[in-house]
Amino acid sequence: MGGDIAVRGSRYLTDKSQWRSCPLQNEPGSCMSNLVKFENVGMRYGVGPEVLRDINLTLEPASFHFLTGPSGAGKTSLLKLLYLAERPSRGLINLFGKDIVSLPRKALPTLRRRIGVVFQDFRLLDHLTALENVALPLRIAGAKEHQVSEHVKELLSWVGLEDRIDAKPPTLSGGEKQRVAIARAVIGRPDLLLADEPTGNVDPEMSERLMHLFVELNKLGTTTIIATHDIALLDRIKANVIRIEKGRLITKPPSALAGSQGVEVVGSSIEMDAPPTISGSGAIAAVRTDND
Amino acid sequence: MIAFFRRPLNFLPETRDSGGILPWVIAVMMYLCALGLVAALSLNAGVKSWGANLDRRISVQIVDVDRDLAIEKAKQVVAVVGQLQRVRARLLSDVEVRALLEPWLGVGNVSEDLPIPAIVDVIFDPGAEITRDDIELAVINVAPDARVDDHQQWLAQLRDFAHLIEALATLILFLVVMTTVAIVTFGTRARLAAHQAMIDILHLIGAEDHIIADEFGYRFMVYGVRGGVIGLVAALVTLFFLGRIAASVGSGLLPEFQLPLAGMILLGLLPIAAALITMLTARFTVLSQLKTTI
Repeated sequence: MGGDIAVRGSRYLTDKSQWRSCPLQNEPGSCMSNLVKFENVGMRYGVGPEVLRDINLTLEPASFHFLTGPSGAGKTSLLKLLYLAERPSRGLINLFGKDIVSLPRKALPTLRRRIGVVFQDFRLLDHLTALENVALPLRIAGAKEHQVSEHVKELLSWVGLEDRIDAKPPTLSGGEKQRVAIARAVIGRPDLLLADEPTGNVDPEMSERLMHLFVELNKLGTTTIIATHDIALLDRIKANVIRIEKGRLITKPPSALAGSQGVEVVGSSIEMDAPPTISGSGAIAAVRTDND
Repeated sequence: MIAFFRRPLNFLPETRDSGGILPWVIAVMMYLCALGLVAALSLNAGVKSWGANLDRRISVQIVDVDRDLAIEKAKQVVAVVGQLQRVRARLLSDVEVRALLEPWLGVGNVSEDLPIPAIVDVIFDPGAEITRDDIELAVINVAPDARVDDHQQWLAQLRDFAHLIEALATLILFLVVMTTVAIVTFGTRARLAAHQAMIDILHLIGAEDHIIADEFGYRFMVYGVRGGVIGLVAALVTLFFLGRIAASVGSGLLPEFQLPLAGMILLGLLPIAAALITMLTARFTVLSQLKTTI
């Protein structure tokens, strides 16, 4: 399995002073604001039909969500809008207090650095080592090299890949690649973490371990959205579910099992060290789909 | 220039062929650049040198079937011209005159029975305001049939030709640089297309366009330096042999190969110029291409 990835509490990730105590701390009154807000958003590729229609969605800071729906329903398109790979054809998107539709292109990288993305196909750079892949976001952000090395090694150790830091993706197993991709997504301590079918390529045990990782990251204050088809996963982890069908959102209210942290793991066989808690984080997410 | 100051992220895979044929294409371009540069500069230096030698010189030729009579007239020319202020005149010996003919007729082909003129070499001091007419006036009484040549007509033609060659060399340099820019532009676009997925990832994790452009600029700068050095070395080897061939062909007919100090410095800067051209071209190409992405 390549190492135990039960969350041991990464010193790098759990260092409160390094996280934004409020994801929108630079915006006046933003701690009370929504992290993500979609208003009547529609999206089409080129001149094709709309793949997303009338999306109204509000995500609060430090909330946890599943995004689910049948294949072709528009999950990936919605994620693309969230990680700023596409712009909407219509409607308004407000991310971190910024209007994405009118934001100039040169302003996007700053926002993208606050978003961690775990792609379904990992999208690691094959010629770089695990360490170099995970280090990319920090290097892009201009971090000092000694800090980069220190933090990346610690994070890779945290996901159980301390022995694989010099391995290149083609030599890694699916689970190891997944963890490298996750480490790369969280190395920048994102305010918003998006994962597209993160458990699609791994066995059930690894799937559960990865989910614990996401839950712990959410508890550290990261708003987390996980796109998945995995019904069993939805049963095991009680959180808000955003369902999308034929490009439209359908809300499923949070399970009664979901506790005050907005997410709860049911019947976990994974042992977790006492996760660090961050005051003010982990509020229950409010998902409003005004179109329903 | 940012590539010089920012540590590259090294996200571009280093292929086994290290840029494919691009460094070699740049090497050929820089080779042509070096030859063009040397041709222009050495020709310019040669013409200046000839001009400097001939600007203060006039030749007086006395042609006569009677060689002794010609020599006698020439001596009188030396005497009358020598009386002019700040002017020196000297009768060339037979050996010197025959040596002047050798580049055209070949060494040893100037036979004893070949009628050769008597030539007086007139040299002015710097600042002496002597013209061809002054000399003609001075010699008209002692040698009315003397041919006075201030070399200016030949020199003017030579200068025109040199300027034409210089302009041509400059045009070739310009075309070579433009071709290099075009090749690097296409190479950069091809590499961008080949690594589009990787660039998308970099964008999505927060890379600004200039970070990606820096990486490309750095990589192409390395190709530019490699190509520039190879091209320069090849050009120096060619020039070395060309110089030796020119020296053996005949020292009177061809100007002595000489490259001024400024030319040597320019030649030495060629790899740096190649690096700058490739780096800036790649950088601007990447920046302009990325503008069209989200």
